[in-house]
Parts: sequence; C-alpha cells; structure tokens
Amino acid sequence: MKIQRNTIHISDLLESAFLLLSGAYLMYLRLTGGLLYYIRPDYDLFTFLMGIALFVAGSVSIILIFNVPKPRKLVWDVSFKKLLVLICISAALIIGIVIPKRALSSATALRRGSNQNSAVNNTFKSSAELVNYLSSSSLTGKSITNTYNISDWIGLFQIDPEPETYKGKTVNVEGFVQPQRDGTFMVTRFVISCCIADATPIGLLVDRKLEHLKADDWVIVKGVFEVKTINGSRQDVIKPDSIELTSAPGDPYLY
Amino acid sequence: MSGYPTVFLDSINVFFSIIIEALPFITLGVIVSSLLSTFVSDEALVKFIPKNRILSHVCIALLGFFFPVCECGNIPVARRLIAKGVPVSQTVSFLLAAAINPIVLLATFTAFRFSPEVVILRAFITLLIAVLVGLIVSMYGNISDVLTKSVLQECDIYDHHGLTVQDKLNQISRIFRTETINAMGALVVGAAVAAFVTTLSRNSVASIASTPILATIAMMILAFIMTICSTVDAFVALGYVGRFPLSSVISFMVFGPMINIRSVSLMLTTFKPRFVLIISLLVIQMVLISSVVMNIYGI
Repeated sequence: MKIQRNTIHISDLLESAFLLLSGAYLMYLRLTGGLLYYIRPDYDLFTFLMGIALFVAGSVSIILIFNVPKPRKLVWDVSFKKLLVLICISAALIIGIVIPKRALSSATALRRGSNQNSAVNNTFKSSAELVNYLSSSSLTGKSITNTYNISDWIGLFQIDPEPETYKGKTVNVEGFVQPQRDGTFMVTRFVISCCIADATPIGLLVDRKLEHLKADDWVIVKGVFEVKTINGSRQDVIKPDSIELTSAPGDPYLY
Repeated sequence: MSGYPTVFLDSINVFFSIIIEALPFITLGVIVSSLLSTFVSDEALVKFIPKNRILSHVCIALLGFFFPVCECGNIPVARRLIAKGVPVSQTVSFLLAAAINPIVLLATFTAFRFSPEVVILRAFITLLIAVLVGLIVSMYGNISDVLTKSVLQECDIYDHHGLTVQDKLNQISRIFRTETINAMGALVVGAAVAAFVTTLSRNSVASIASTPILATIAMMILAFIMTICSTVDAFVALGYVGRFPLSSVISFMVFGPMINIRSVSLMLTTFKPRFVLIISLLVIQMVLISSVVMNIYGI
C-alpha cells in the first residue's frame, strides 16, 4: 500500500482526539471522586492509570500524525462505519458528562428485589466470631452493633438466620427509603461487587409508616430490632427510636 | 410506570458504569496487543505452538488462561494472534480460555472458601470447553471467511520486517488507536443493550428454575444479561448458592465470562455474526452438558 508521507488523515486525527478525551475523562472522574458512582474503589487506581495511558496514547498519536513533511495535506477519509463508531463513542462521552451522577434508585432496587437474605461479603468469618461480637456488646452494656452498617447486619443474618438472636440489638444504619406494600419502608443500600451493573440491593425493614418520607430519601434510622411475622415468616424489623433525613453520601454503595 | 424516568436514569448510569469498568481492561488488552504485534515476530509466536492438533489447542488455551488480560482485553489480543498467523480455531480456544485467569480463580476461592471444589471445576470446565470448541472449529481447516473485513485488512497491513524506530512507534500508535476505537464502539453498543436488559426483573428470570437443568438455563441467561466482570462474578454467584443447585452456579461462572452481551459485541469486531452464533451455541451446549454431568455426580 502506497502511503503519501505528507498526508494527514482526518480519521486518524479524530481517533486520536477520542483517545485523548476518553483518557482525560477517566482521569477527571478519578480526581473528582465521580468513579465511586460507577465502580468499586479498588478499581480506582487501575482506571486512573489506564486513563493516563489513553491520554498519553492520544497525545503521542496526534504528535506523530503531524510529524509529516510540509506542506501537510488534510484528507477526509472517514468511512460511514467509522463515523458511526465515533458517533457512538461521542454519545457515550456526552451522556457521561451531562447525566447527573447519582446513586441507583429505589425503583431499581424494587426490580432487582431487595431483601434481608442476599449474600454479601461477610465481615464475620464464623458463627463463633458472631457470638463473640454479640455477647461482648451485651456484657459491656455499650452496643457495638451500633456501628454496623446494613451489609454487616445482612452478613450476620447469613451466619445465624434465627431472628431471635438479634432481638433488642441496637441498630444505627444509613440508607435510602424503599417503600413497602404495607405502607412501611425498608432502609436500603446497594452492594456492588464490580460496577453498578451488578449492584444488589439489601435492606432492613423498618416498622414505621412512610408518612412524610418519600422513596429515595436518604435517612439514618436508629432503633432496636424486634421480631415480627411478615407474610408468614418471622423477620427482624427495626423498631425505630428516630428517623433522621440526611443527604446522599459521596460514596453511596457498600462493597 | 411512575418510576419510569428514575429507572431510565438508572439504566443510563448502568450503561456508563459498564463502559467505565470495561474500558481500562480493554486499554490494557490493546497495550499488550500493540506490543505483541511490534516486538514478537510471527515466526516466534507460531514456533511456540505445538504442531499436534490437540496439544496446540491445549497449549493456546493455557496461554489464554495465564495471559494478563481478562475477557474484555482478550479480543484485541486475539485479533493480533490472527494477524500473526495463528489459526482461527486456536484463537477461539485462546479467547474462551482467557475468560478466566489466576486472579479470577483466586477471587472464586475467596468467595467459595466453604466449597473449594468450585474453583477446580470452574477452571477445568472452562479450559475443557475452550479446547473442545477450538478443536471442533479446527475440523474446518484454517477458515478465514469467518473474519470481519477489518481483521483481514490488519493481516495484510502490519509487517515488522526492516522497520525503523520511528516506523515501529508509528505502528504501535496506529494499532493502539484503531484497536481501542473499534473496541470502544462495540463496547458502547454492548453496554447499551446490557443496561437496558438489566432493568428487567432478575427475579422473573430466576423464577423459571424449577429443575436443575432449568436452573442452569436460568443462571446462564442471567450471566448473559448481567455481563459481569469475571474477577468478581463469583461474589455475585455466591448470592444464588442455596437457592439454586451448585452445578447451575458453576455454570453461571463458566458461561458468563465466555458469552455475555458485552463479549458478543466485542467478538463481532473480529468474527462474522454467524461464526459468533456458532461459537455461542457450542459453548451453551457444552455448559449444559457439563451441568448435567455435575448433577449426575450430585454437585
């Protein structure tokens, strides 16, 4: 194939520009904390490094493209297929920039089926450890369960599903409101393994009518567990002492 | 329908998250592919592969297993292997085996500490399917009419004999640019489809699982639509243990990284649709057979 040495192909330039922009956007997301809305923090550094790689590759490519003898000749050689690909990529970039960064909503939690029985990465490795935790809290009189998040509780339920185990334990959890059919609500969080495509909703039932609360309101619920029979099965529900409205955290997911 | 706009916005966020999650892995794959293309000669690569038909597929599947790219980055590397003269059948074995790697198995072991045989079965079944599918494809000789036009062009263009440093740099830059943009285009389409499908209720798919084989089918459908990265899918699979037979959970982890919405979309940048369909059907059949065998042995 004969290559004209002083020719600059527009398609090469556009491709390079897209590499550069994609890399810049990944870096921007990392530096502004925006990545936390999409992927788990463990991938943060790798994503940032690959963002740098894309940015550098795009920049080097542009330099190389212009490194041709003068007079330079610009040639429009963008095929329809290439144009379509570039339109798709630019659309994705625009969507990423324009769409507000927000946590997944209760509507998605409803579709994905949030419950108290989802599997989570368990903080507690064995039932012995669980017993140790629970007994130490009752011995000292100060409740360490006060510090557990929703994922910790679901992890405990996995180890010992008997609701009576947790009766009377102090709960202090943060999550968003997911209305239930009976007018009460579940305080819910999404757990992500990799990115929000695999986000699984988990939640704790709260024995309180919605009243002024709306779906997706972020709340801090404090109270104690009591055991109730719901749809024929005994479950732990939070009997709340207080429900405090709060703003969505910067890192809305659990891992 | 009152929740429609919220679900729509969620879908867009899911769409974007799939891209954000996969793009760095694709970039890594393209870096490996570009370096492979420029610094490893065709002769050296082909010499590394044994002449024996079965051994060659086993060998290339193991290469895929140990290669430092996961299922998003393996497509650019596979394209490069084809461009370097590796037969299509062996490339298929590489592609399917690259769905797992030692990191994936370590993650699987972490998730399934209580059942370490899951790790062995996952690795064994994946490698077996990769080799068998490659061997079946090899029965048709070194077919090139299954490749897309862009791959055939790459086979002709790149040549590293007698290149200056400047030429090599130009070549790496060109390969990196073209490969990344092609993969990104496919990724955007795949992510859009996956984001739409993930808005469907997962419980409705799971509800069809009334027998072990139906459970496997349900889990394979879930794996296809959920399009989860193989390094973490074990933790998602863990959520189904107890509700589904272990064989179907293993099938989820074997099938998902090989065939999912994103991987099919990326494969279409290299292979023609009918070939991707054939590969997918072969993998589906083999995963189902392996699931039946696991059921027979009480797994």
